[in-house]
Amino acid sequence: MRGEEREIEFNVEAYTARLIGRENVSKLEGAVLEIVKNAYDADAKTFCLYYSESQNCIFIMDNGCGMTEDIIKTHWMTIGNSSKKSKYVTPGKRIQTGAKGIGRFALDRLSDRCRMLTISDQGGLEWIVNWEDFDGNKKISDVKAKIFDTDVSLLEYVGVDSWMNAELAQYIKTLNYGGTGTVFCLEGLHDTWDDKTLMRLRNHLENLLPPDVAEDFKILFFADTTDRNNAEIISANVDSYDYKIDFQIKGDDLEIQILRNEFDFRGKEQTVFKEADFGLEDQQYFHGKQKEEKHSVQEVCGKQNCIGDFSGTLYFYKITQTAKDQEKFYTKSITGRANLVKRFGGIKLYRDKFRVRPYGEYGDNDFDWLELSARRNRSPAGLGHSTGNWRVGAEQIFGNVAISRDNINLEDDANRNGIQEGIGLTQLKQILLFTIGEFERDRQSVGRKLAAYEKAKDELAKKMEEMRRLAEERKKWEEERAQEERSKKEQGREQQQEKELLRWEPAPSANPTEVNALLDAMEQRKEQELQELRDENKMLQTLATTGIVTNMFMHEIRTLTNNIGQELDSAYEALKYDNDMDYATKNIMRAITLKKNFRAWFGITIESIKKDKRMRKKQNLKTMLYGFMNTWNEILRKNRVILHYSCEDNIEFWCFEFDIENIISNLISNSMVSFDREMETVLEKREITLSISALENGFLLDYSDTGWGLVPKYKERPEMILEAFESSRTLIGEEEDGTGMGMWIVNRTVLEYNGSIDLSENRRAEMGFYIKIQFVGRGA
Amino acid sequence: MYRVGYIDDEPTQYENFSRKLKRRCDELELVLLEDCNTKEEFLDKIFEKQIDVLLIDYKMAGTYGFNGTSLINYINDHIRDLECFILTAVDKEQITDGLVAERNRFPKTIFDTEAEDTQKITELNDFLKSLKDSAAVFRTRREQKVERYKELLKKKKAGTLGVGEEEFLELYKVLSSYGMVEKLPANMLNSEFEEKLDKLLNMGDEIIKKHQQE
Repeated sequence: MRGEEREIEFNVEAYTARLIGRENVSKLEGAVLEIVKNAYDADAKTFCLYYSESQNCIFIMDNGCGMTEDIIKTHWMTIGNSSKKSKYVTPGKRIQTGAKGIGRFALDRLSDRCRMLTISDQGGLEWIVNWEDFDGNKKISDVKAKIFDTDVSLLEYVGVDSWMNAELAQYIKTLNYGGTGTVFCLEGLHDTWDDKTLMRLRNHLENLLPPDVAEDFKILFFADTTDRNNAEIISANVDSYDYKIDFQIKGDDLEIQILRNEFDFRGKEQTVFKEADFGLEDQQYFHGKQKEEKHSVQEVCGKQNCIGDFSGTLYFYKITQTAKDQEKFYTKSITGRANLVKRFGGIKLYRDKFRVRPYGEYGDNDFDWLELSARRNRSPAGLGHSTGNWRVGAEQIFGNVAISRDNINLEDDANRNGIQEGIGLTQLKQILLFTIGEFERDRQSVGRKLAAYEKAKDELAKKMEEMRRLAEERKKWEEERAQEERSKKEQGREQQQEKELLRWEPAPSANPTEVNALLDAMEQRKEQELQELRDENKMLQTLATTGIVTNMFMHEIRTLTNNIGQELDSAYEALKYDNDMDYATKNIMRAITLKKNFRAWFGITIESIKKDKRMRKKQNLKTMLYGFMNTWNEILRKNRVILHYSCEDNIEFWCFEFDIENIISNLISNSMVSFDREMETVLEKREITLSISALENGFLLDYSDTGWGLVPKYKERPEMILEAFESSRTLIGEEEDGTGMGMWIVNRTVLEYNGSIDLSENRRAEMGFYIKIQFVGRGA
Repeated sequence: MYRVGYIDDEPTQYENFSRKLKRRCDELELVLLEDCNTKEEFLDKIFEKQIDVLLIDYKMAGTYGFNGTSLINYINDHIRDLECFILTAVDKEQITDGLVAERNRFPKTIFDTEAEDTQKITELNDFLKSLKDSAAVFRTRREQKVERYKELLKKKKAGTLGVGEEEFLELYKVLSSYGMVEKLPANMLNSEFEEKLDKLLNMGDEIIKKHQQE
């Protein structure tokens, strides 16, 4: 039976709380880095750590935004209350995100006693704690820190005028410490701060700073005798990035400078340049020349600049690399690299030098605000992949984008953090993604050449190894044979027969013909396996094309089914309500016609994967395409498109039927989308011309239409449409119109036939789309 | 009886829809707006046929150069109160130009009741009800505007219209087209402001001519 009910509280001993904190910040290096990070998060422009041997204390100073009393109470003093859980906003509407949950214990790690002065725009506060109070058996709520209002300035508080290091004291007075910020005086130090310790901390900080941090965050780290030149910490990573990408928007121009810093040809430079086919220009880019590009905003975003001028710098900085890749792509070693993105954020946005949070904030939802990870997932190809696009990962790139209050359409969001969603932010993202795309293109152009070079080198090496082995065996065999000859002469005729047998014994193992036969067999088996994989790949490509074509013509197909249903329903009601036999018959006849049209669609979608089309054989192109082109013609006529089709009689080509059909279907689909583009005027002509003519060793497929042509984004560089996931409407914030897969499949298929694609006419022509595809036959 | 306008670049289902409408709702009549090529011509046709509510096919750019949504945008710029609905064979979610609210977008299959499927009939009846409501609202608003028009007409005649000129002309265009107010002689429709401007310009021209002669 229960007695009287009582409630008791959980509590924790102060000592335990302190231990938990200490567990998290156990090393001196970690503690100092934590404090630096707090200052960085407070938007400080400078940070100083001064160890005064004469006073046996440490002064830590930053000129960030300081803390208000409320923030000290609810965040600084509440253990485990990280602002990652609940963000708070400064009066300037900036969001604080430092790990305040345990950061303060970094101070405990350094000393027994701590005084702090923090000045925010609401005034100054002094805060004093004696960490030893946490020892003993006290409950956490019994440990108090003292807090006072004060009007002392930051520099007065640390007594800068009485510093032994007068040179630095003088310098710091010039560094804008007159306003907000936070300083700590730490006494009762736990560590021996000798030269060795100072050197170790210095190295640690240098290694953990990203190269771009120096631009807006100065760190001074000094003792009594350090001179000014040696006080500043310079990031050791200033030169250790892989790529540096600068960009500027000036009016309607986007200028990009790409600097390669990733490659090291390890003394084989001339050989690699020659054999991997790097041109003179490329060679200069490897030697520190910036690759300069200029594009128009119109081309990049499809509309005029609506933001104004801005600029930025991005760094590509990979943090993992396999030994094999390092060898294959001739890259520099990245041993010892830290994940800088995790510590200092990804692509950050600054407005007039002030950080606009939360873009690029590691751990925040908006860390990857350009959705680079999703982009990479859509296109996961490796650097050396011959057709797929390599995409940079969100954790491999960081840097800053500088906008100002003069920019328009980029207003601060009143309710949320960051910038208001809208045309400005969309355009900003488009420009950044385009710039990143240009860098990716450059890096992949190098990667593809090096991958191909390695493959060629590999095959050659294998062949030579095999030759060497065969030669060795042959030599051995011949030597033995010569030996036999000699002994034959020396010995009597009676033993000759015996020797004859022996002489034949080593021969089979050294028979080059048999070795070759074995190699051939192995080669054949490999080829067979590869062929099976290729066939499978083909099948998938065709399924994809079927999907693309069906999807593109969903409207037509849907209209057909809708209309069939409508006619039947109408017939039903005509009979039931009006007893109108004539009208019902008309309805049914129309439904039957519609059903016939429907069959045409099946002809080019579902039927393209029929089994006999998946056999590779020698085909007469004209015969092969006869029915297929008739079906298309029927569909096109219904859509008021005139098809001019011609194919020379005697083109024989070794191919899969559906390969050629896929290409034609993809091209026609694109033309039809172009014909129906909303452009405020109507096209005079809706015509498609396709002519297939024989070449010496294959054939030429010459295709054009009279549609609206490529969108401006592709006009200058039409070959971009061949890349995967490129679509005329994949801009952020707009629905995708196409899948971005069609032309990629065309390109892949053509490459498989050692063919080539010429899109150059699109640069010249104002209207219409033009493509010439050459097929060079495997056994044409 | 309300007049429901219907615009489609391939109006193959017009007769089926029209019969269906007649059977289900005797207050609505489906009127095909045809023989037009531009937005202006469609607008004139709407006035000519005195349409009370409008149904427009979405995908028409291949025929006219614009889609149904841009046409609605244009029509509402000129007749603010005429409610327009998109009828489409594509998914209504796929219309992403943001020009027509989702509640005003319907699939064409709304007219297919699949041999009196109860669910489909309910959907069609709801749709017809919103057509009727929209038409009634447009009619009421027009009637209310007749009062405002009369007020402006009085001022116009007294020569005190001033900035109300534009509103007056807009009201006149809609109301006279729908036969709700009397047609005015053409000289009444010239803007006073324009007349004054013309006069000033003529004076300017004469001064320049004189100056050149000297």
